[in-house]
Amino acid sequence: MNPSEYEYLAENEKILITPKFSHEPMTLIQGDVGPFISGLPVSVPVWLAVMLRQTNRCAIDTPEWMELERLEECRDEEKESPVFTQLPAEHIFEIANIIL
Amino acid sequence: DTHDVFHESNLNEEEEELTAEEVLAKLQEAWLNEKNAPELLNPQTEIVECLLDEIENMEENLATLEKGDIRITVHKMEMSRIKFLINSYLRTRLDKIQDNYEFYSKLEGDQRNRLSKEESDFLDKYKDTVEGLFRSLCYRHMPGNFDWSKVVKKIPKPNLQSAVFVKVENDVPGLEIRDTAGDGRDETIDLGRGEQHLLQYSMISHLLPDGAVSLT
Repeated sequence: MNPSEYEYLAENEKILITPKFSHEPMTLIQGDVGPFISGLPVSVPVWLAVMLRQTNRCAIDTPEWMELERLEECRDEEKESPVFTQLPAEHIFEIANIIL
Repeated sequence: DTHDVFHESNLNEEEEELTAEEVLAKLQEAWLNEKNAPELLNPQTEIVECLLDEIENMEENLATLEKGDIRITVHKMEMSRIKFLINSYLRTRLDKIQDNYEFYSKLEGDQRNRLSKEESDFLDKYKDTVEGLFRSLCYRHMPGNFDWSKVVKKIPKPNLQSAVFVKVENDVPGLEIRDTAGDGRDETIDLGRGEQHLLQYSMISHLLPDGAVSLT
């Protein structure tokens, strides 16, 4: 498995965005997305979020696990614990890389 | 009586209608399993064909939309992603066939079901091409009385004892782990849902077709 394949898997995760446009729900093969109401957060797959942000149609909301305090908590927990602690979310490294 | 017989056969033939979303999830699981398994797994030809149909339908629908509609971009992106998945899945399988072509061409009967019809044809052609190449490149030039049909070849086969990371989808109580080194360190373990383990492929390969575990 190479990095771009891991990225592919990570891009299927859902993430919250705030769209700058309005649109009725779209029926994708992998499920419905929407409806999009300008200013209201909506959950979409990461690949869609990135595409919309690149075309200036939305802003990506910071996921819960990416809040600074949360990450500091996780880091401290990991330092103190003798075994591996649970990761804050699946695919955090890929998603962080993609959206930052 | 006849009514009961018909009723029963109807129940047996009832297919579960899966949504496109579920089919896609199944393909993704099949892709991950295929990428991580050392041997060729069962071909999921129906899933691939179903998704190819969906893509075709989607493309027809898109042709009816106006140009510049945002939906076109979105759907096109999704279709690219699905095509990538299908491509990668089929290519991984073909790579495995090429790596061990002698082993797979010796499979008979039921075991041949591991290859789809197209893959089977590909295997035959590939085998002929490679052997033809070896023949013209060096066999011909071997000294005098060398008879290739008398050579007993040891055929390389996929390493079923390689280690794989396993994610448990459904509980598996009482899994037997045999010590292949013969030191008598056999163990029986229980796999709980949601756990991840590093195990020998041959110990869990029977759990893959039902989806009790998946490879990551």
